[in-house]
Amino acid sequence: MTAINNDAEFPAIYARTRDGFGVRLRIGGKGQAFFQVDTPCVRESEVADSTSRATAPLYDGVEFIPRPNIHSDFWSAGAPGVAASRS
Amino acid sequence: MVSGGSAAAGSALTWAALREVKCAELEDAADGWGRVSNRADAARDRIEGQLLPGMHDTQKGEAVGAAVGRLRRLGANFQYIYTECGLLRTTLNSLAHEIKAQQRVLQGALDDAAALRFTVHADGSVTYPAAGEGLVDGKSLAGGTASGVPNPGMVTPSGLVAPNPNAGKAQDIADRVAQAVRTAADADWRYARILRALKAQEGLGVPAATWKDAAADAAAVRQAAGSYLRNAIPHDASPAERKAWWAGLTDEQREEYLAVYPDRIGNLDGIPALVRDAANRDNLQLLMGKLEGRDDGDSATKLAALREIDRQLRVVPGAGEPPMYLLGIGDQGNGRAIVSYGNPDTARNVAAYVPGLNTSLDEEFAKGDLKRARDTAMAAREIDESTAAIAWLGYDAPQSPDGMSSLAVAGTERAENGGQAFRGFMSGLAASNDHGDPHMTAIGHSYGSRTVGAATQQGDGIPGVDDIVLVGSPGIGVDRAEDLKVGRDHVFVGAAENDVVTHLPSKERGLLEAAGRALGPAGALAVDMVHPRGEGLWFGEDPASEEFGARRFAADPGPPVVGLGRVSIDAHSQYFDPKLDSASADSIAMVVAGAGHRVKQESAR
Repeated sequence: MTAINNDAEFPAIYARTRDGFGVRLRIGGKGQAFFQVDTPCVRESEVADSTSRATAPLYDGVEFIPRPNIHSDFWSAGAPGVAASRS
Repeated sequence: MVSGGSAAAGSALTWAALREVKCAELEDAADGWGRVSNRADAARDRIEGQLLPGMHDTQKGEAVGAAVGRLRRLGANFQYIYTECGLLRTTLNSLAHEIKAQQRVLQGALDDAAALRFTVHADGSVTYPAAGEGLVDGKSLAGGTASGVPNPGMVTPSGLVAPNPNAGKAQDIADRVAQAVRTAADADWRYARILRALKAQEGLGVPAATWKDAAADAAAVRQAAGSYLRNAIPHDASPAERKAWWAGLTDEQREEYLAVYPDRIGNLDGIPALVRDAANRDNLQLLMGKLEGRDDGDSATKLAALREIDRQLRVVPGAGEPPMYLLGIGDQGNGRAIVSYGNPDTARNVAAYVPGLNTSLDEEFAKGDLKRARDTAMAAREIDESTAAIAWLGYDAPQSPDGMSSLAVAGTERAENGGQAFRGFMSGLAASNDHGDPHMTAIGHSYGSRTVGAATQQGDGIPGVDDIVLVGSPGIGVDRAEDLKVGRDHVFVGAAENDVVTHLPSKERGLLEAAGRALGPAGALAVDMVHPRGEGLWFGEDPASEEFGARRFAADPGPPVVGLGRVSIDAHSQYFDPKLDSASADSIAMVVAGAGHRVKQESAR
């Protein structure tokens, strides 16, 4: 564990092994979660795009990825419909 | 042209011909070239913005590669057409501008002649009637004819005869006519040469030589059009005044400035980011063309950097990636490049990163330093999407090949000069931003933090800047965080334990010198820079210290200076790296996104 930020709005946690494998979990703006895994890499190499389909329409050149507009009774904040209306 | 091909001699052009030149026709022709130029620009935009990005989505197979290649070439053709037609337009407008000025001079002389009832002959000589009194007999003096000379100062009048008072007036009129004709003929000759040179090579390719040629064309047109365009660019005005100047121009005027002075408009603080970006992308092509033709090492280094920037500019950003804006480019000094990730005019949060020691316009900058700004923009956008981050190489950072002594002497001067340029840039951003009071952050790394420090000491601090981040800092020239004029709670410091540069301000000189020796030339150089001739701490207090009073955020210690059988200063270079030190990179990003008060604090040294 290299660093922990227990801020109420933007908490984050960082961990790294001695040989350079790292994990980072951070909550960003509007409750968006960002998860990142790093491997020690000697050579620069291409990383293939994810094969799973995004739930939002994504195409090259779209600068801002649309916020999720799917409501979950468990994950979404506030009363039903609040998350959906934010999109 | 005005009077056929033989105007060069100056004698073929008559005043009557000059009076009849229809400048409106020249201007109409200029407008026509302007329209062609605009169409070509729009066509290039369509190819590069719509057709090329869509190819891989809708097509598969080898045909795609071939089609992409052809489209790229077509795009380059259109860009070349845009540039050259834009130059043609300004050349014609500028010619009309000069001819019109001489027509006014000519008309003034003719009007005076008519009022005095003088006769202006086809050859420009002026006949005047009898007038005045003779010295001896009191009779009016005979009339005569005066021939104009283009340079009247060269002929001194004889004082021996009592002149007919009309003679002097007639001479003046004749001289003005002759001068107007001569000046117009000169202009005609100059512009004819320029227009003849504005031509493309055979074939569809737009090779480097063609861009080199275009750069020369632009230089020729600029020289000729100096009085017509350049003098109006408000270099001495404030950024807000420049913004107002640009807003007040007609579309046609803006297009001409962009075609002829992409470098001036592109690097003018206060001009909208989209305009600077468009101007600098054109200027990038011209600069590459200019440097292609040189074979010295400096040009090759800069050219490699420009090519890498050009490559990145052509890549279509993937979903969720910030687009690139080229806010400045130049080959003066060690080179200039200012690149923004995200539009700095529409973003609520704008940050600019000032790189440090040994940074210059080379491939390392084009890859590494730009990536730092890009990574910062990406991480800050996790917190607030409305964020732009900029890599600012707008000054000559110290270079170790300069040698130690020259570096020690130039030590603060470069920071002072850089600080001044940085202040201009930031006040330009504040002026061109759409938000009333955007949240702005200045980030300094290594010697760049010294430059940021210098910028805060001029005037009331850095214009528009709310937060300051200092990483890998050797000290910034002031002893207290509040001296940076943003409030001590808005000064953030990252100092890795194994980053030897951050230990430079400490008083343990013995340890320092040992570290310097261990590091070889670079380390010894850094030590020498801080302690020139043993005069002490001229970079000031350690920003990570308790006494300095800034907010220190956590940074990975980084690899030890001596370990794994080699000497390493990598700990100095990973503050922005989301892989090697994501905690530090995220802290910088949080400050940039306006959430600095939520950054996890670390105890001071």
